[in-house]
Amino acid sequence: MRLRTALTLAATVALVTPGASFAARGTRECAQVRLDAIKRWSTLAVTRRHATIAVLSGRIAVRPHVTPAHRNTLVGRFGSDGSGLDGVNQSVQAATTCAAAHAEATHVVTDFRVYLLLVPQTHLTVAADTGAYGASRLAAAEPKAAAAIALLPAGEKRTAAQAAYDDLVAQVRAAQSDFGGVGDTVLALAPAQYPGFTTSLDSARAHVGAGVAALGKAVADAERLATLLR
Amino acid sequence: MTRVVAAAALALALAACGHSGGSARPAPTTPATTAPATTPAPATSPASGAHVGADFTTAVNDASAARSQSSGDLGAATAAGEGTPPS
Repeated sequence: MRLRTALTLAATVALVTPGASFAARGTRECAQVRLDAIKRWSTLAVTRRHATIAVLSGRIAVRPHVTPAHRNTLVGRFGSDGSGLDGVNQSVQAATTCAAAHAEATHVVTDFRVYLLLVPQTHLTVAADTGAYGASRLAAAEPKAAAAIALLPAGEKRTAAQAAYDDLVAQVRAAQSDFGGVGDTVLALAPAQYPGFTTSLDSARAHVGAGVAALGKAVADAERLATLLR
Repeated sequence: MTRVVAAAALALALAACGHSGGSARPAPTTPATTAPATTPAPATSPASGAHVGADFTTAVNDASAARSQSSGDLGAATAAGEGTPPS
């Protein structure tokens, strides 16, 4: 496929006057091979984006702890992006000039930002919601640990258990804070906000990373508690 | 193990009858697959007086699995180039 594309491009370059770009020549000349190349690019780009959306859809299908609201938003966006991409490609295929085809094909990128926005949007939302679920499971178990610690006689074991418990609570709260709001924030980003949304995505990544780290420490604390209170 | 349990049960049955042997009463039958009765897990362990229970362990396992999935999803949250149509 790449070889064919390269050959097509080479043929296109050979057909145009050396030193004059297509943009400079405007719509006055539009070789059929050039128009075909744009149309092929559009079809391929849309097909690849459909495949990516299918992967994203599969991912959230196996992540049971994504909140219903976020899941609905993502599923809706997958559908609307898919149909929107098909519509753009139909416009590209119907174009009769290179300029029109190129302008329409650009919408495949600018109207959807599948790779720059939808992919990280989906994964960050799933990561945050799943992490928040994990933190909530530990938060719900804290009273049991506290009650068990209270039954321990004073001594090294109780001191160690209390220290693990205190850190568990702190790490769970930190994780909940880090994961909280990430999904809502990233799902509010729109393709038109490019390139500004990249800063928001970077911030969301940092929050989720911190949340994962805190949740890991909380799990380690909880495992230590389980051993001490066995 | 089953033989030992059966033998012990037989001995107990014989002792209850005042016999050290013989076949005055049939030994209670014990299904081969039935494990000896166990006492329920205590709410508190004898050693420490404290026990968090299975629910706590389940919560920890759930949280650990969630952390692992979240970490994997974070790793997948990378942006890639969109490309541009040929011009």
